[in-house]
Amino acid sequence: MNLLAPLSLTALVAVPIIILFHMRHTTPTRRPVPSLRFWEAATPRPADARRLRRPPLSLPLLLQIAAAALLAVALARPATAAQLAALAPGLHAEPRHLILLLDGSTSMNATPGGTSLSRWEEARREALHRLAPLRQGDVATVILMGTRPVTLTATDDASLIALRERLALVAQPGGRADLDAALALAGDLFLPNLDREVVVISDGAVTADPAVVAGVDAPVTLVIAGAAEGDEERANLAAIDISARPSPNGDGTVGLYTSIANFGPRSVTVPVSLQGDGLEIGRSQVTIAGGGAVEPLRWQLPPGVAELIVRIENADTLVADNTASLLPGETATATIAPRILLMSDLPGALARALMAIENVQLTVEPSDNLTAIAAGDYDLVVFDRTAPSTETLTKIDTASLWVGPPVGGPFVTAEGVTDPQVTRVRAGDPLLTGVDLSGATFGPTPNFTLGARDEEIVGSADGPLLFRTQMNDQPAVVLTVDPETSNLPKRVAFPVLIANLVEALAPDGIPAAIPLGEPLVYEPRASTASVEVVTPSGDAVLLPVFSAETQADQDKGDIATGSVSRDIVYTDTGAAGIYSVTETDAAGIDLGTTHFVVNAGHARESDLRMDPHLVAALATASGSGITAPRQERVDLWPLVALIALLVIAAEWIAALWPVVRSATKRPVPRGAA
Amino acid sequence: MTSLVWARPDALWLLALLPLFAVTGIWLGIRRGRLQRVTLVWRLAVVTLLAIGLAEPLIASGSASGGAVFVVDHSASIDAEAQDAADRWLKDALASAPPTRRAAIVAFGAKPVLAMAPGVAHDLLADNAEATSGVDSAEVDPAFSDIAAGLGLARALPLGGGRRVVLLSDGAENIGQAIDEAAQAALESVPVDVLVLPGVSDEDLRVEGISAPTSAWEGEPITVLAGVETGRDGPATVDLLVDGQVKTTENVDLAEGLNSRAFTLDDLGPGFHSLEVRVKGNADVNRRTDDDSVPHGIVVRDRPRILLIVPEGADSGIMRGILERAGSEVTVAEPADIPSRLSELGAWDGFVLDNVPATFLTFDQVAGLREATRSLGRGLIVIGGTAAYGPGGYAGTPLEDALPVTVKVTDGRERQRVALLLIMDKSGSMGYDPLGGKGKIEMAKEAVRLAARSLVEGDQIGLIAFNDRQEWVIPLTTIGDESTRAAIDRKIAAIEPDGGTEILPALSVGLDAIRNADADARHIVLLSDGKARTGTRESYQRLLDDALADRTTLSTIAIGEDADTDLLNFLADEGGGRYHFTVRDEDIPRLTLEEARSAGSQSVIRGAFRPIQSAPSPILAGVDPESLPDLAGYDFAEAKPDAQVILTSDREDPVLAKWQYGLGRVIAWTADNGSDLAAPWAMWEGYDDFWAAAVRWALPDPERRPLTVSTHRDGEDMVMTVTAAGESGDFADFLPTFATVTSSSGEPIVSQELAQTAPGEYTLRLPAPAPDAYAVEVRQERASGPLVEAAGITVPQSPETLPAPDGPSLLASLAARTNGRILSLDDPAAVWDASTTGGSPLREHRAVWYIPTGLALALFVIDIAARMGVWPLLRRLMSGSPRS
Repeated sequence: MNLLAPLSLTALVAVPIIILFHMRHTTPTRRPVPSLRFWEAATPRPADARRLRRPPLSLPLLLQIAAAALLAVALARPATAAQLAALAPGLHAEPRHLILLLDGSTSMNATPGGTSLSRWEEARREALHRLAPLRQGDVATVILMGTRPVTLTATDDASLIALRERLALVAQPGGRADLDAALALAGDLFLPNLDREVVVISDGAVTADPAVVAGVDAPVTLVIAGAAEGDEERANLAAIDISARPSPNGDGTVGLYTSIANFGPRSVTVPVSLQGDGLEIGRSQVTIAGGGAVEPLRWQLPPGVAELIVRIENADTLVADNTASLLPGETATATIAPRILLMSDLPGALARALMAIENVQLTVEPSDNLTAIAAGDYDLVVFDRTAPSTETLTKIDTASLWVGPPVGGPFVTAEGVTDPQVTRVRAGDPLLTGVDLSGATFGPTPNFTLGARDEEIVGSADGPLLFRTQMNDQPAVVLTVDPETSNLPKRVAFPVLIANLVEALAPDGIPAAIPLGEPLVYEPRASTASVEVVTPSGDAVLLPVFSAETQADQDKGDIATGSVSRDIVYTDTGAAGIYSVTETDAAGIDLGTTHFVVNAGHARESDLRMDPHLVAALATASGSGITAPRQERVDLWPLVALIALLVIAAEWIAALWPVVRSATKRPVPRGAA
Repeated sequence: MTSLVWARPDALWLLALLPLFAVTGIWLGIRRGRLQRVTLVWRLAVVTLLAIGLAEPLIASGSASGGAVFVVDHSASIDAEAQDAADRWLKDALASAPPTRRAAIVAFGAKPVLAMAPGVAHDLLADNAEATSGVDSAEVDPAFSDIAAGLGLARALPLGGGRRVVLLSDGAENIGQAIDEAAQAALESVPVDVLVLPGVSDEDLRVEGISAPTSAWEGEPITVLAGVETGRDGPATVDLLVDGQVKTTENVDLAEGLNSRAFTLDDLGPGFHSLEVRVKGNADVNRRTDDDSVPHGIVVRDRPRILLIVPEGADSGIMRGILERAGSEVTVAEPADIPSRLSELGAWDGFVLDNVPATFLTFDQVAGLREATRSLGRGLIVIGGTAAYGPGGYAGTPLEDALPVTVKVTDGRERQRVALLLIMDKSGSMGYDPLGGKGKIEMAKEAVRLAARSLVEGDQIGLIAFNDRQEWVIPLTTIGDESTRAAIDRKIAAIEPDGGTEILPALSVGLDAIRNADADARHIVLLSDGKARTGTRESYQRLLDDALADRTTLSTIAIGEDADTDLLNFLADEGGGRYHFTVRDEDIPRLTLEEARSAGSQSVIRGAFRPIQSAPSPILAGVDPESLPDLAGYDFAEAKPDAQVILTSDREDPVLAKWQYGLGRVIAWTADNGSDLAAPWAMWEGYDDFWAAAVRWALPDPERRPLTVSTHRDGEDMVMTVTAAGESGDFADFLPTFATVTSSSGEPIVSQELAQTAPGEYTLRLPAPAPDAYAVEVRQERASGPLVEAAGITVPQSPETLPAPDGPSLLASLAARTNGRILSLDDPAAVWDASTTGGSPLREHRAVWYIPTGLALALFVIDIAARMGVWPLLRRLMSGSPRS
């Protein structure tokens, strides 16, 4: 126990003052007596003639001393460790700012043997317990540490209640906790006149940089969820990598790579199975050394497998990372991937480059099939050495890519055809990222002329070779060269260039995989009004597509409108598995579905072992005088003041008690009151 | 606004004790005269104050309306002028705040920091007139913009509800996803107002980028294209620096917009080189200097190694000289010496077959060459002649697979009817063999049989055997079915050696006969091991001139040292054919067969023509097609569908064709090396450059190696990916792979093992070093030994130096999604105009429990003093009255 305001102990001066009062001889009071018979009794004794006397050891005096001393001690703010907190919740007086760093990473999903609660649930309980004593005037900040930290704040009674309710229901964010980032954020949450206290509730499988901890400028308390477990109890196997690449042999097969890590203390041998589209297509007996050793595995897959699942057939503390999924065939099955229409009479290198782009739907139509364009519903129309009639041109209401447009088409050309050499290049343009044009030849190319709104990306002495423009107010890019006469298609640069062009012109597709806890951000198609995301557990979430105009109508406020992003943001990706995404238009018509995968295995998060340096690192926080785990400080003054009040009440009774007795037995002695 | 709130209002129930104190005091004290009224009052006051103290009163101060968190962009894209403008605006906004409004200031670059803790807006201004300009730039890391992090800190600040976030930025986000933070802010009803600051101007003079290869062969001209952008016409200086030294300086007049400058480097030595393009201009058009240079790393590889394959005994000098002058390191090998295993063939970067018949190569060798081209990406150049392509038996071989041309005759229209006349020496020396073998005559007979079989139906063959006089063993006979060949065999078998050697009469008779043959191509092969006793050079010359006029050619085979080699060589030269010399009898059939195929396979088309350029190509870059020399002939072939034909004959047959074959490139040159069919080209001054360009094109892309290194920037990290191909072109998995990165000055940056993350892919993530070019050495431990590759990588300048045209759009999106507003630089007070929602704002609470508690103690002492009768004494002491 220590005193937080020791100077207030000067109030103990009240004790000698009270004693002094009792040591003083009181002056006889004027008392009328009915008869001289009692006069003698009324005459003071010789001892009373002295100014001071020994203090009488009376109950009132003792109670008065006790009450004054208790009040003085209360003013000095005695405080102690948290053992008493459970007995007397809320025993603190100064408003304080409690910052809880609650580890919501994947490793907190572990359920230690013999318990029914996961570490996350234990940590959540601890957090709620720490929030319970907070009162009006206190501020609480909860930073949920996942791949993406989520901050919850309460600054008054109402918001404290709301915070507790939200915390009780919030889903585990998942992913990899960045304690350093959370500590840095906590260090910035400075409020004047508030005591700050930072409490880290974690399984200890996180790291902290002492330099960051030192900048927190507040005491840091570490509470370990599952503290009693050793490495044996924290042993875990995980599939930490999974990826696939088409075989360079061009035979359509796919190479699958995965790695299994063993974070237990000893070597284990486990079966690992591979399922393709629901059927077991591979199985290996894998022996992995302990202590974080990794065993890589590779399978050669037949063409056409759409869904792959690697499963470690072993029960351990963290089950979520025993499975890793991959969707190598998602391109083929996705129905809301960007739709590209290729108008070509002789699909060649361009068609091959477009087909090689992941996560797009490619439709090839001959140039005379004008209904394909008129039908619309494409995100990008690519014209391969062809151009539609002027009438059809006006029907293009989406982005377009023009490759080798013919003379006489929609773009202005000058006289002549040249064999151009690159003389100008906007090398930093995103369209040219990763594109090396050195050594490229282009073949006979018409001399195009740039319009006022066109922007040249690559040019030759005789005209542009690649430029941005607009077609019906939609973005368009023109590659003036004929890929069949150029050496570009034979170079690595060509597929990269075409991928860049598609990325610039077509909306983003949904990635096939998202790291655990990272938000899904993508732009749905223009006609999409809402997006439904179904989680691996089957829960469906409906996300409306943002529309600035609609928002303005609803709010009738002065909000920004204009060119605003329609991106969908879906954040609850903390559970591992396969998510489905379905787009619906305003009429409720299903526009298509695709899937993405979230895997739990991670080289860092699947390692459930406690970081041996964590305790020492957190102890370096300013204000941390003791090594972790530290305990919450409790103010005792209310208890002391309450006792003082009781003592004062007792003293009151004691002071009146002689009066009660004298009323029945004898007159009240002098000076008793 | 200040008010009193209770932290523990339940404690106020203690006031219920007051009546108890009052009743007991009145009944037991005052009414019995033992207690004065004032004492009761003191006691009640003590109890009241204690109850109040236990209820923990808090003085709450602050605004009843919400505050504002200003999130200020301190990244490098905001220049000093814009930063000052933002600071002034911020100060004006704080100054115009209603008195009780609270505010806080967050500054951000790559990281957010709390520049000003929450407080009353006016106090913020008073405490620090500089607002955010005092923010430590190292703390925010201005090299990047993480708007999401800034908004995240603003959302996390405990300001209570009713707050607004005011974002001052150019919107040039390059880390994080602000739209995600905006979605979270919208859920919490926190509007984000935005003030669009001017970012990087696209009118400032800057180096927009460099386009240059990352890898090149030694001696290969390297073109560096630099884009220089400016907002105004004017002079500037553009420097190209190589390894930190200025290599080229150009004083240029730039035009508004993008200007391209091309530099050519052709003298870079092997190894890593750091290139840099730097621009200098007038200060009025060059306000920012951090975008005035762009680095680029390039690795120059050692001279390419070429395996030149020539037939045994053939002259390799022409091509060897050409290739060496083109900067290649040449190894000359005969067919028997070339390896067939890929691992051994992989030692060369390219292969040149100079008129090599496929029959000289084993199937494994041909297949090895094909695979080295297809799987290892090696270059292959196949030079024609009378022993290559059709004559060389390429048809149907793996070599033909790799060629951009088809060797076989594809239709009758192109088929040439051949008349082949063999004039064979049958002198007595032809039958002599000191070792008791078959003798040259038997070999010659065998050669005739093979020649007859190499011809096809419709061709004609004749045989004149001569010694002192000539004899038609086989008159010119059209080959029909198998019976024709059987008859020829029988006639050959009857030849017996005897007599001397007289060439001229036999040749004269033969030429007279073949001249009248109905054939498209006429060819004579003369075999002899002796010296002619009659005939002068002039007499032979007349015969040959007549023969050439009739498109009849003559080749000769000199057998043994005793042969009249001078004469035979002369005859071949003047006869438009080839001269062969052999001392081994067993070579006779092969040489004869070669000649028969040359004439009889319908693949060598003779006759002068000027090749026509049919497609542009770097091989002929800078060459005027009209200046190309004539060719005397070529091997007939047909272009494959995907081939690019660069030169054609006057009959539109491919002469020079190329294509990509798997990972490799193949060039087919259907004329020869300049010794015969392309003899005029050998005299052409551009001949060396032509082959140098062809070799450069065919050689593997120096960037396409078994280990290729690529990098990309992920926020503040750099991710290096090494793609590893196995020896057979498949994935190279589970191999220890290490990378060492060193700066251009040789300073080590990192040396670390990469982790495999995908089939054939290894990855290393490391904090991005400073913008510059860096050398990388990747080492992969393979069963065949360590494989080491050098590469150059470039860490580009901070993205903060680039214009961000989409920035305002992003800011508008943030505002729209959160019901925020777009603010104006002209009206900072507008920050406080909008109404706020979303709960009560944070108020500052100060605990004052110690005041009532302290007062309670004081009153308690007074209470006791009163009861102990101290007050009268004090009054007397104060009034100076004597003690009674």
